Amino acid sequence: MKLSLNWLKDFVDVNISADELAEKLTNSGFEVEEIINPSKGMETVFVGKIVKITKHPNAERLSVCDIDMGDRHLQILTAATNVFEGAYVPVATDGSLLPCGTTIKTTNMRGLESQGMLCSGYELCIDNKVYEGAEVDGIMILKDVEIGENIASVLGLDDIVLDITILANRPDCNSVYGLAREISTMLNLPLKKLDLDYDLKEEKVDFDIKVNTPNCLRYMGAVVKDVELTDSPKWMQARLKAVGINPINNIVDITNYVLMEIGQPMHAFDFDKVDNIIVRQADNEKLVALNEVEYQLNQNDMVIADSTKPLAIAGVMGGMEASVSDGTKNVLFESASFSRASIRTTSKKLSLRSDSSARYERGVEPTLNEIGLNRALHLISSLKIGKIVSIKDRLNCEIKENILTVDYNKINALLGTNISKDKIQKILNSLNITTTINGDNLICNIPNYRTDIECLADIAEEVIRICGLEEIQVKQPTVSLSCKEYDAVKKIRETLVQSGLFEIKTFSLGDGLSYQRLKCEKDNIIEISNPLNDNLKALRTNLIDDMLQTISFNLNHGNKGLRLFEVGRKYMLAKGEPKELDTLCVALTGKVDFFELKKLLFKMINLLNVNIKLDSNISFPYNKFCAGNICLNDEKIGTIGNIHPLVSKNYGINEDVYVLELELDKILLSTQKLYQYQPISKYPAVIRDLNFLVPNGLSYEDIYSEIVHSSGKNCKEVTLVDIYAGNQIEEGYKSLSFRLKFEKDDATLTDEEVEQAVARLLRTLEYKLKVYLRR
Amino acid sequence: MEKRINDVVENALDLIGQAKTTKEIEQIRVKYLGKSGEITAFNKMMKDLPNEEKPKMGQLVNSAKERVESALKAQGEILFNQELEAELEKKGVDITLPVDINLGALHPLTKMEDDLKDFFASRGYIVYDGPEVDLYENNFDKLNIPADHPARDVQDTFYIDDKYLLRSHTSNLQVRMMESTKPPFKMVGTGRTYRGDDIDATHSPVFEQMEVLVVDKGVTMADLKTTIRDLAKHLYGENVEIRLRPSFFPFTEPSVEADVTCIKCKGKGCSICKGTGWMEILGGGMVNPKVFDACGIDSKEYTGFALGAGIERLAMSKYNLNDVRTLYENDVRFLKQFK
Repeated sequence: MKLSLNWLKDFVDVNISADELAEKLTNSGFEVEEIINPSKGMETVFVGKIVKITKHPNAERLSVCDIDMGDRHLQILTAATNVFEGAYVPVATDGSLLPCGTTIKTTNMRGLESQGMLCSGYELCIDNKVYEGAEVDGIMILKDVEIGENIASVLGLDDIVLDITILANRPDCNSVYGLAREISTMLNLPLKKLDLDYDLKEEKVDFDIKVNTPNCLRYMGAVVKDVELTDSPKWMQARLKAVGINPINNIVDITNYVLMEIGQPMHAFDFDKVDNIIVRQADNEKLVALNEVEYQLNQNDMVIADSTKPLAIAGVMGGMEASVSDGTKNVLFESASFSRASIRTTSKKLSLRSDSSARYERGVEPTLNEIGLNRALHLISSLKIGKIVSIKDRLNCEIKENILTVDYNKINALLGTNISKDKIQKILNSLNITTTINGDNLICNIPNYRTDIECLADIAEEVIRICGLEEIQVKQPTVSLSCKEYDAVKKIRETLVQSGLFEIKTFSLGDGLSYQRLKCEKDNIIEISNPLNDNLKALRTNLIDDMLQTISFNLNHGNKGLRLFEVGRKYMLAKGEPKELDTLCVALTGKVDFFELKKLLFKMINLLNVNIKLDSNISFPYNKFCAGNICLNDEKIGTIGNIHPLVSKNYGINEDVYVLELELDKILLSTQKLYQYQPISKYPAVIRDLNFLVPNGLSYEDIYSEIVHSSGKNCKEVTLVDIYAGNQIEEGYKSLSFRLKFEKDDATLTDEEVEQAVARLLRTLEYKLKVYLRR
Repeated sequence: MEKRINDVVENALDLIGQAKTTKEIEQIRVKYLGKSGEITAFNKMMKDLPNEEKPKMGQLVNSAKERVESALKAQGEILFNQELEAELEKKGVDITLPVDINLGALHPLTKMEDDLKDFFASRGYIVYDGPEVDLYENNFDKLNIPADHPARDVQDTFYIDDKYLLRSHTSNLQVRMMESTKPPFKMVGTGRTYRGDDIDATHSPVFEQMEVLVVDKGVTMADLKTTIRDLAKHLYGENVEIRLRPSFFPFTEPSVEADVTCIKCKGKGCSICKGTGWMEILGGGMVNPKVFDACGIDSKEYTGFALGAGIERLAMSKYNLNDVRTLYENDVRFLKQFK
């Protein structure tokens, strides 16, 4: 909302600077985003009259002008060719810092002094819209001005405008008068009365207003006859321009003026093109609006119609046919109130927004209709634009009194303050909330325009807003403990960072086609019904796709040996309901192998009290010969391995990528690791190294678990010491060397006991796995 | 005899004095004191001497031996130390050579989130988490955002179907916390949120927020203000100035927005703070009784406050970033700056 300070002064004699006012407004909930001062730089630019022009004796292209400034004469040199004796021109005097950035000083030009500068529109940073003729090639020639007048007032720019954010709960402040009401309370200054008087010369006019829809809360119409359509007065034009509205003619300007001043949207119809007014829902009909676009309207849209045709899209935009135009003689003014939801639906459906619809969407309460209409009629009267002959009013709702009874102790309890009830009463009264005291209770009569005040908390807000938030005293800070899952994620992230990995964050929205790039089956994707575009239409079902995209991006930017991870969510439909899984994705490129990634996995898992296993029943996006599933209690919770080259190719990656993806939900909830001391045996251990010849189809895990299982209770440790495949080994086999440590807690082991255990182990391995000792 | 012994000793001491290495010292020891060494030879001659001369000779030989031994020891020690020094020098390193500590880094948004969560967790808040795909009512209705509110427009919120949407703020955590937990409680949560904004320097359809909710008997606006003050000082330092402005959110009443002195210009006014000298950091307020009622908490018995902040905005101001897209691009050259 743009607030002109000149306009504001109609209602409040503001006695502080624009900067101070802006700060006060911001501190009481009306944030001032910008202070617009269009006359900045024009303080020392005045109207001067060229009395005489002579040629510069030493410079052919320069003219020497004798300028009458009223109180003195200046000699100014100019190269412009459009100047003439008797012309009124803007004169920048010595020391001016013009809007265009130029500083003006008295200078010597080829032997003659120039005591200032004649300005063009360019130097004043204005165009034809501000002043007709501003864009002329040369000096601006001014009309109807007086010598010595400040140029800003000539141009109608001697105003300061505040750009204020009006919060959604305060539609009543979306106008000059509404803000004036706030400011008068804020500065403790009287609010001047709105002039609403007008001359009514009642005549019998043959027309009626019917309201046939509950979406119209009130409709007022006034007929003005013998209207003379002209430009509106200069002051009105200047104010409209200052707040960004282009003047059109006196009738349209009045509707806009009232909109900005009172917050009541107004509409003017050409009364000779209207027989009656019927407010109703549309019935599959078409209307060409003022923007010359034809709209198809149906049952959900409200229209203003007469007995034969729709005239306007209610609250949104008028129609072309009955609009005020050059031939208009008689005018019907509309001042109405419509349901917020109805206007919003139509405005959204038609993608058509106007100053009116914006206000109706935020709420225009029915008592404002009368004030708005009266104000418009007052302007008609005082500007002598026409004859007011008839006013009609259809109220289609109940205007209720809003009385709240609140305990002042509860206001203080909510705010953490200790404000006396008398002070609260005073504050509320200053806001036109008429308040009486009854014991601890305050009985508050809320004015109609304060639609936002419904309960004690709302009253409390008013009190603290006016009192100032500095009234609230701060307390001592408090301290205590923390949270488990969050701690676990933090530990995992820290481990990865310590291992040289960088965390990334990628969008959780994508094109929903990652399964194609990853050569996987399509998942149960959650899609957005109203996406911004096709690239952001589905929630991701894995983190690998984003990871590979990030890797590709970095490789393309010359970053090599990437070590990245992301902790994020993946999303899917499970039995039709959305499911979200906190997931970790890790990726390595460069001089790395599978086991480096596996090492990272176990480093992380070691932080938690869980046991995981890998199985190799896996396929795309992985290379199945170098990848596997991560399982917790036989349940798959992740994948790890080398990405299949064909998949990498889809991302434009031409090197090995190792990736792991791990669902965190289950492992994060694991209990803390428990450490229990085991006594160390006092008796010597016996070590046996065994080399096995193992067919390639068997995994280390297969043999290891069988050894652990079958080597007897005295075998306390089994470690792989060597792995060999090559010359001395038969094709299709590998050699695995295990070191077994035998030990008893209560006695020295005999050789015999160890030999027996080993023999039993060898027999089992031969029988179960066809694995033999290597000779 | 005596003279011969003296000559041998003098020769030995001469040699020892000229020795350059511990190896030479060892050779001299063998030459004089070894099994067939020159001084050892005098011992052997002793048995041919008359008995009365033996003690005197014995003394002479012993003292000769001691003199040579102590000279060997002294010179040997000097040479050993020299050699050790030379050896160490040879093995010496250029201590100014660089080392690779092989550290990665957390993403700046994570750093910011952790910072916020740690602040609250250390003050007894539960770190709470909730779904991003949530029911309409948890994102809107129960937060006093009725069906005709502009925030529910299709251009602002992503809808999945007629039941679910992508949360447009983390305030759904408030609803879930209140519905699942009996007060009193203190909660902090961060997470992804979604809005229909096209991507540019300051907007992103995917972004992160922090949510804080405290519900108890007798919670007042002073608790809210205290929390804001403590948080602002934690984030921006003890000397930061804080300003509260009245504001409006459907789910809090009264509502405030909090500004701190711009970290770039320290309040003088610059491009970051649009010349105001202030930087907005968060919004909050006292929980609207209508929200309590909708979430099954007795609004006559309990009061509470809520806070919300955009993580990107906080991170961008803290790390001097001017384009939100940088945060989601994940260029390693960018990530490395947060080691």
